[in-house]
Amino acid sequence: MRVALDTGPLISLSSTCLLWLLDKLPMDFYVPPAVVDESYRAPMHTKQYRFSAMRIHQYIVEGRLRREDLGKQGEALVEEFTRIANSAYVAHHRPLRIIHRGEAEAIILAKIMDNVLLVDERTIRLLLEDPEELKYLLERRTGAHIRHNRDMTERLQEIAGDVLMLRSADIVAYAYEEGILGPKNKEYIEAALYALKYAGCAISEQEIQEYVSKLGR
Amino acid sequence: MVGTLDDIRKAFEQSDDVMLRQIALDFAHRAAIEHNRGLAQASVIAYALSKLLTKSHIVESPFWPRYRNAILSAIKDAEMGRETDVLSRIERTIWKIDESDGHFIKNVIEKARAKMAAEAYSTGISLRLAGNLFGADIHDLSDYVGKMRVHDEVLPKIGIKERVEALRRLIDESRT
Repeated sequence: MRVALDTGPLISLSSTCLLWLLDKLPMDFYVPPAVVDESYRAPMHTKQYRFSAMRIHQYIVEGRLRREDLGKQGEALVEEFTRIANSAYVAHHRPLRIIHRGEAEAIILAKIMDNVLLVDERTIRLLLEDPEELKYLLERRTGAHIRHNRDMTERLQEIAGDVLMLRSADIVAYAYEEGILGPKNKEYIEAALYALKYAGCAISEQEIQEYVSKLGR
Repeated sequence: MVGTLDDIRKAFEQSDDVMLRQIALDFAHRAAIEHNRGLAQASVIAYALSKLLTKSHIVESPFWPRYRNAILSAIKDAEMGRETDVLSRIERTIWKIDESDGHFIKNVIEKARAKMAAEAYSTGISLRLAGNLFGADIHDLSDYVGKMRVHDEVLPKIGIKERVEALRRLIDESRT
């Protein structure tokens, strides 16, 4: 099964020393060009993140992470997806830019592959899974009145609504349940999920507690 | 940007770090909604200056009046249209302060970029867009965001268990 990967999960898994899981899971991982730039090229120039960048680069060189270009059709879909997403909400009579082209690249790559995207940030997930909640979030934090253009979010649904969006926390939970992660005890997986949360994965404390409470001993 | 710098200059002249921080947050949220790089830059300046004012070893040093005047001069030049890249000029002054101070590896401006970008992300715009708007490194930004409560504000419709089950179904299907 082919899975598209955004930058966030690479950062979360690398900083929590869980990048090795990518070798153990029954999936092949693909990254679009934007993710290669962010996770490898850019951080190679900063002392703090260079080692992480080198580890990720090693994965790419060895084919454990495969760089995939989107092709002409893919690029056209990226442009369309970005344009529509950035017109889906309006504030002060102007369309609100809410995603970067890089997020669109990741989601369209997932469409080209097997409809699975590993993404840790929240906006792209809400845009496809709960666009009305995203509207409330935008309003809550800014105090601005936001108009939600439902035609646009429905069009995004048509393009990519069937993509299964997973976070690094979700694949780590899968690995735990399959006995891949390590010791099968609740405290271990709870600690791993919190580590990913603090590394930037968009998972709430409540979700972690609900999940762990439902696990057997 | 001129009007926004006026607010920053007045708060900095009064050494009001609380006001500067409030200005920074307000500008960051507005920058996110308007996708306005000028406001993003202003929020970074305001936040960086608020942090400087809280460091007693800096504001009580004998060099502080010189640095303070350099920062005010940069802001005034920008207000008069004589400075087009006020952030870089203030950043150079802060680098000098950081060099002479030697307490922190990461400078105040880099932290301000990440912090303000994290605030912008909290409004609902994407992480990459926030990082790009504020010039923040995505690693720094992810680190900041992880330590904020921003991801506790919205409970997703689909939780861990459901996503894991959906993944398992797909993997089983791909094996048959």
